[in-house]
Amino acid sequence: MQNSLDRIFDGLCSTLRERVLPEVSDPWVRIQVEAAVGLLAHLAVRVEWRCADLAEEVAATRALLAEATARGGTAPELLRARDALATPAPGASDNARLVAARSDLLEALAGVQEWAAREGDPAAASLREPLRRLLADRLEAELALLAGARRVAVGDTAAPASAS
Amino acid sequence: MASEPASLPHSRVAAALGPWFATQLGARTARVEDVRRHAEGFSWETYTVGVRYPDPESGEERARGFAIRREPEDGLVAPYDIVGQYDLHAAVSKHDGIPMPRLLALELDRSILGMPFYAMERLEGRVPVPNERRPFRDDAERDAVGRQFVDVLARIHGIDWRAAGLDLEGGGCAPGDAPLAALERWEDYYARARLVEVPILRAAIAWLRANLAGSGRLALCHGDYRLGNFMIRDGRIVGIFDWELGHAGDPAEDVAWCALPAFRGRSPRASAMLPLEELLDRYRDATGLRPDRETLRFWTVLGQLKAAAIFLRGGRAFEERRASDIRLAALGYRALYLLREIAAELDILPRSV
Repeated sequence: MQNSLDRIFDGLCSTLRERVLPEVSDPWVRIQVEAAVGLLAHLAVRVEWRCADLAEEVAATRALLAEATARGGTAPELLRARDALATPAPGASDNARLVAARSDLLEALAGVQEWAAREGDPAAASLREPLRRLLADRLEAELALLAGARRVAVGDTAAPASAS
Repeated sequence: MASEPASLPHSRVAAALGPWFATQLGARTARVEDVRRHAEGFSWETYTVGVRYPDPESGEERARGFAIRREPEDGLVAPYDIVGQYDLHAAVSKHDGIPMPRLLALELDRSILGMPFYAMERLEGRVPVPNERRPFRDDAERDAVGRQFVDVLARIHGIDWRAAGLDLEGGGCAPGDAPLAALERWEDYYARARLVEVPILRAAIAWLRANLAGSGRLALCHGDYRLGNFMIRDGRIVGIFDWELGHAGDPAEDVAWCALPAFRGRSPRASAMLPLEELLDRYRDATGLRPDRETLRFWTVLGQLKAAAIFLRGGRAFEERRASDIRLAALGYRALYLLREIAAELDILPRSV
């Protein structure tokens, strides 16, 4: 959900190598752990967060920010959203820029959420339902991945890990 | 790059603590054995040890068990105040009806275990946890422990912490301001814990700000009072643990916290013990306070924000290499379950999802 892949792979490898392996005396199990470290190291230099998921999140967040700024107004939170939108959307396969864009857009979205929660502004109030839908859609997408991960964790890999 | 703190080798713990225990126990020598690092929890390092030493008076060999709580170099609710926590433990221990392990000593000298620590008696028993299929032996044990759980909470909330000389976080706040003070504390914590913004938590913060509600009371709150933080033996609670989130706050905070879905496994009961209504009635009988629906909902959402933010901080500590426990990286994903609960509570998602 938030850690970088570099750190996750590095942490997994170092824990297996430095914490787990010294406690393993069975030669066959040791070889399995060493092979797992090797595989993780190979993955570390070959995989990245799925661009399709990132691109979808970036597009949905940009759409909401555009909807907010289209309502006009000069609240600082809306100006911040305009600034975020001024940066062109990254290409659908530009992983590093997608990760960075998601982070920037979510910062801008936090401001828009604060603005939309204020009482007494009909424009702000009218954004609450689109915001709710965005949050629901994004969380459902994450929960679908979580369900897939849970199946992998328990060894139920008959169903694809990405399906809900 | 910051160093990655590692768990202490057991041989070092045993060697370092032998002379220390001898001093504390007034013995000529002491031998530390059977060192175990406990895997529960993500914050304080807990070791249990056996200590053999000659009785200072009779010279006969004695054997006792102790638990060591070592301050982590980094953790989920850092920075830590070990003196404040020790004082809180000591103050609570003086009150009847609140089972607490007896303290031995506090040690601030880092040359012994690398970080400050304190020792207390090792309790014998079992710590039931939320993800167990059957946290209790049977329904009778569950109900009896549940009733005692509420009675102990009421006693904690009844402690005159000012008279006990405790300087608690939140202690300067007017009782009516406790909800806002707690929201500001945890909003600030979230801002420092996250690696990226989490829109559901921003929605929770906005909702909490618009729906402040409290009981109007200020009490000593445990801060993490729930299934998983007490030990039972023979159907009775024998020790309440993990006081690191202890503070002065609205007692409804602890009531709502112990009833969070995250702490009840598959059970519909609060902390897998009592039905919520029964818990509230019993708590009212003991304290005169029954948090109303709005107050309970406020503290439920605040508790979910607090729990999620603590999880996120684990991920951040791991990312920044201030901690190396890979469970911390997994906490970021576990936070999704809490986000689902918040989304249901705030009608962002239907409850069935």
